[in-house]
Amino acid sequence: MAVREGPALAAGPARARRREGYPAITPAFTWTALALGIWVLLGAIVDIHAHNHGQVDETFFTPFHLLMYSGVAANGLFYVVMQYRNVGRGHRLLQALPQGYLPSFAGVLLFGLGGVLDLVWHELFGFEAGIDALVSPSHLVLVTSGILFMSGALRSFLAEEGPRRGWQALFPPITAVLMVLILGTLFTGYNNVWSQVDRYVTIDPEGGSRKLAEAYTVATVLIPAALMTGALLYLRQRMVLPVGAVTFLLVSNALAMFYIRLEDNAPHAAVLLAPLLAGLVGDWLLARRASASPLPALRLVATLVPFLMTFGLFVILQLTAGIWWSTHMWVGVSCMAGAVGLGLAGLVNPRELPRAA
Amino acid sequence: MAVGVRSGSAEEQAGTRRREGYPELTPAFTWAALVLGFWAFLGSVVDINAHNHGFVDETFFTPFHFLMYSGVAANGLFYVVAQFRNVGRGHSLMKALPQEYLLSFGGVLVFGLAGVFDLVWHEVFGFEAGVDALVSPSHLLLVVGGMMFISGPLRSFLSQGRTSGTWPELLPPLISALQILTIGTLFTLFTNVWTQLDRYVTPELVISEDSLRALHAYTVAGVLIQAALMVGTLIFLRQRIKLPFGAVTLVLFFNALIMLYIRWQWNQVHVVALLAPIIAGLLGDWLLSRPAAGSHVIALRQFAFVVPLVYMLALFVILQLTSTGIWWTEHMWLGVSFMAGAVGLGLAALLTTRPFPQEG
Repeated sequence: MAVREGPALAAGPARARRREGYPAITPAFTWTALALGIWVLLGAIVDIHAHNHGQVDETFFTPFHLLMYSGVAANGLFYVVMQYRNVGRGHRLLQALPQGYLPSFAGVLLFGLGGVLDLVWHELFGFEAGIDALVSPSHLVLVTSGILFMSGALRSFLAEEGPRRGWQALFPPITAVLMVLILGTLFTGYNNVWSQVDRYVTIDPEGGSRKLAEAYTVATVLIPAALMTGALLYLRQRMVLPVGAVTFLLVSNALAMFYIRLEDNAPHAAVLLAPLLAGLVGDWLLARRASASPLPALRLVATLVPFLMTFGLFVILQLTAGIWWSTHMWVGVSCMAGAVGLGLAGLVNPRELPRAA
Repeated sequence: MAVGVRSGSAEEQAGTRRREGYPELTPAFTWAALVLGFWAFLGSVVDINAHNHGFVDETFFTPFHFLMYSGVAANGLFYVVAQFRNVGRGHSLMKALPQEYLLSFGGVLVFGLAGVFDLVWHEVFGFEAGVDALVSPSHLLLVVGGMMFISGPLRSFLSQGRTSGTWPELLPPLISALQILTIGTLFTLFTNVWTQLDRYVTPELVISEDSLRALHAYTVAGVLIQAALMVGTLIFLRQRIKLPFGAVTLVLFFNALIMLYIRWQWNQVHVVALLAPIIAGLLGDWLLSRPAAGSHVIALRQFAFVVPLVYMLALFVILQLTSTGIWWTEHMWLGVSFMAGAVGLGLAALLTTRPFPQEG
């Protein structure tokens, strides 16, 4: 993997001479790190899919685990090789990877530590089952480490100065945010409308408390609305998004979540038109020439996009399968999804924090 | 109620002469607006409590509705009188109330319109019951109207460009923000850890393995949504105001108290759990009062992670120690507390001081 040398080379021609600063980032490095992150994420998605479809038994040795853990190992190998090579070329230990990628390496190491913690945790508190497995502290450490190494392209982008435009420059950081978003929704997958679409068509559990089912399904709309809009706002604060970015983010996230319970959700695949529609509207709104202050425009996007995505979902479900929610519920909760976005946009306010007098 | 709006910097001539700008804001006006907003807010709190305790039947005419709607009417009267008086003094129609209070007046009007919309909605789609009533569009419009007039003191303070003040100066915007937060938690009370506290002690509503899954998901959401709303409010405030020591505790404690009160009959045995927002609040106040060594944004991100983490951790530890324990496994209560911290950190990631990227 080609890593060009940074501009600040300390005096002396010898390879082992101390070099100041980080190695320069190259497209090859960026895309390799990105691909390695995607590898692990795909492993996590197919593993969760397999768990939801009864394709795994009690053994650790499944093809899904192989895909995921081999990805982590590949990430580890990549960063070890790069680190070793650049230290050999004279870079300092803490500046031997391109800027923003040391936390990625640390993420792989944390994953290893998380694995040990997981073993200890299971010894102390037993094995998790069901939702426990998605919220258990030792598994959350593994998620944290995944976030660290999947977000390298984003940190690297933010560390660089100067405006960058277009898909080629922005695809890696946008994809990094998408991966973090997908991890967030995967680990709240039990409260995600896209993975639980069928539960809006048939009241679940049958014969169970309607109050419980209502409360649960409302939360299952609001939580992904917050995560998706939050990711969108985070990105737009930091870059001028290329046309299609909103659609890319929303459709990819919804698709991944839909897939993890594909067997139950397959009859309702038409609902994936909803993020497509909301994404296109979001892209169009962001592409319009911004007025003097971009904040009102961003607030509009943050309100409309989650509203349209949720409203579109329920209209499609009504037309294709019907839902058990009353009109009060599906229209009102769509408005609440918009309100969640507007509330998040209230936090976006680029100004210095007030200091003590 | 003394409206007490002194004429502003306009010409000191005849009362009917045109005056430029807004009327000057007085403390009496601020406190009157705050108290009137609180009146309507309190009405909604006792009304929701009454609904949760079976104190209301099918009639609209209950003492709880009376308290709430009389509060809205009092707000309307206050703004109409102040508007009328200041227009009479020469202020233009759109600048006859102190800055930002026109929106409060607008809120009362929205509330009235929403009442009509509510009647139409009920005619078309029928009446709501249970969770429906909290999420129905016509009721949400009432909430929007209420938020508009309840947030007056907060918007007014922020419009002055001030970032600090004494406790008496900051109390109106802080109480205003507390009420907005609590309206948010009230209208998601069906997934709120405080109102549903007893459900963390006893796994009721479970009829099968599958409903246990739904109950797991529901109770996790009850923690995460509460965490998001409270941290969102606190960092919104801290972005704009240098909060005095005690402000975080005030917001967290009273929000939790009101939410606990909503299902008091079931939650009163767990009242000691209210120590959790006090502990987390004091920690938050301490974190904010320290001089930031580096970036304020980084300090606020630490705050946004630690406060909800400690809040939920303390809540579950107290429940474990004082009641029969909670039915969640260690995986759950420790992990979900960590997730509450992650929610806060995620919200704080939206804070940035870098310039907004622009086209061109």
